[in-house]
Amino acid sequence: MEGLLGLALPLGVGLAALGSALGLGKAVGSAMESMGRQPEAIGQMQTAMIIGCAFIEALTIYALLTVILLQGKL
Amino acid sequence: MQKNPAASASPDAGMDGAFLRRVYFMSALVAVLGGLLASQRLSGSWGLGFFLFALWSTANLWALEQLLRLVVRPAGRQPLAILVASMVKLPILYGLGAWIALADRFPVASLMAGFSVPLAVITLKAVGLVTARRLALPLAAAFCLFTLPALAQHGDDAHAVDAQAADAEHPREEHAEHGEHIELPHLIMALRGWIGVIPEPDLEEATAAGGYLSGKPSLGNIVHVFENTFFSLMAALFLSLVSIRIYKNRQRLPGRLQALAEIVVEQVEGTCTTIMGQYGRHYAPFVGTIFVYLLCMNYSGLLPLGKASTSTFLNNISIALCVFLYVQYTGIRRNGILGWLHHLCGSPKDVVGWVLSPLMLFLELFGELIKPVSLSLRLFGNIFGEDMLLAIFALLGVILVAPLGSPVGIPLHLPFMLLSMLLGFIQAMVFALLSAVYISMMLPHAEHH
Repeated sequence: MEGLLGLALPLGVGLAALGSALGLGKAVGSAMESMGRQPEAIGQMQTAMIIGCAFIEALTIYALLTVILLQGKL
Repeated sequence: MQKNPAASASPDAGMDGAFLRRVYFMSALVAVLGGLLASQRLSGSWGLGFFLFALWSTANLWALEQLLRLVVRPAGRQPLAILVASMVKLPILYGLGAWIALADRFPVASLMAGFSVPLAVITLKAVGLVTARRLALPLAAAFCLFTLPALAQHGDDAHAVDAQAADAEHPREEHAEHGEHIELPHLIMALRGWIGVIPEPDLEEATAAGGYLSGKPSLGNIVHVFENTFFSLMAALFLSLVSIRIYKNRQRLPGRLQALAEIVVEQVEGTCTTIMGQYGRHYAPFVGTIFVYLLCMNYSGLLPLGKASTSTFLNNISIALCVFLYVQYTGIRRNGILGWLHHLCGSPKDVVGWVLSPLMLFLELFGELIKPVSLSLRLFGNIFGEDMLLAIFALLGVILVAPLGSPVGIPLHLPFMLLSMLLGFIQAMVFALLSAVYISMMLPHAEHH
């Protein structure tokens, strides 16, 4: 049981991190692009980007939480 | 004897209280820091005795100052006031001091050391070597290094070897409560493990009886259950005191504290107006309070002897529940109950919408219920992860240097403290912003959705 969990949990977190890295890269990249297009609206764009990043990051945190919760059985 | 009126105007006759006030503050600070340091290095009773007697000596000095002021007052003596002052000094203060000294709980050396604290402070201040401003940075650095050696540790076997290596140098290690996560030492842990005034919670008896507060609740269990409530109340108290002070001393040309408050309020109001339109001003206090309160709680975890109460799930879900209830109340108040239900059904306007409305109702209800859970989980995961990261790296810094026989460890957790400052700010801002967004989605808006 510990062996399977020890294999699965870090793999799960790694996959979640990969997914969120891709999503964040896309989000922040397009934010940077639009900031370059319209520098006077940078404040609003920053706010929207932070909110979007928080949503994307939260999913990775859920995966990490699974590890923390199951850590005792590891 | 005629009193010389010129003597009362000269600076020697009536010494202004500023120097003595600084002496009291510095003595109290030295009492707290020295007490904690001593209780960690030597023993709990040494630290407590030092702290108590340093405070007593400061109180003694203050009473002496008041008595002398009453006696030397150039406007004439009032015998009643002098009698009251000497009543405070002689029986009450001395009786208290004698009771502490004769209680036989504290080693005499600690009492003597505590007694000499204000005298040492006065001497050093008068010589001009020691001022609070010059000492602030070394004191802060010494205190941050001082919190490193005594850390809560795992109850696990995996850490037994590290525990033995670290135990040789730092006899003040203690076990974490749950045995699952370690954290930097905070005030309750210091009171429990180093000074020893609060007993340990008993885990087996508690879990057998069905919870920490069932069975016969001991003081240790009660304190353990309300640990995070204590820290969140401390944050709220700090914020209240700062706000009251800013409000009482407000001026047209703001000082530094008022300017900081004005920056925060302006930014919050600007963001709320951007998100919510005309209702922004009405809901800005709620959003701003959430932001500032969460920021304060997140940063409490970075101060020495502090703990971020947002690193527990129950604390966060309670705040998120407040947001959830407020959002639903806003929906009901602004749209009416039927309008709120209409909104929850996805605002159907045509036949397709009405046919799909039960499904939409179910989906939207689930979405509304998952919002506070996601809010709190996001904040909990970030802050809890940061806390554990800090504790693990600090423990690593201690374990690395322990075989060399050093009393303090390397502060390896310093870059993670900076990261934690950034993340704490961002997470508090995201929580507040998302609350504003949820409120704005419930408000009547004519453009979209």
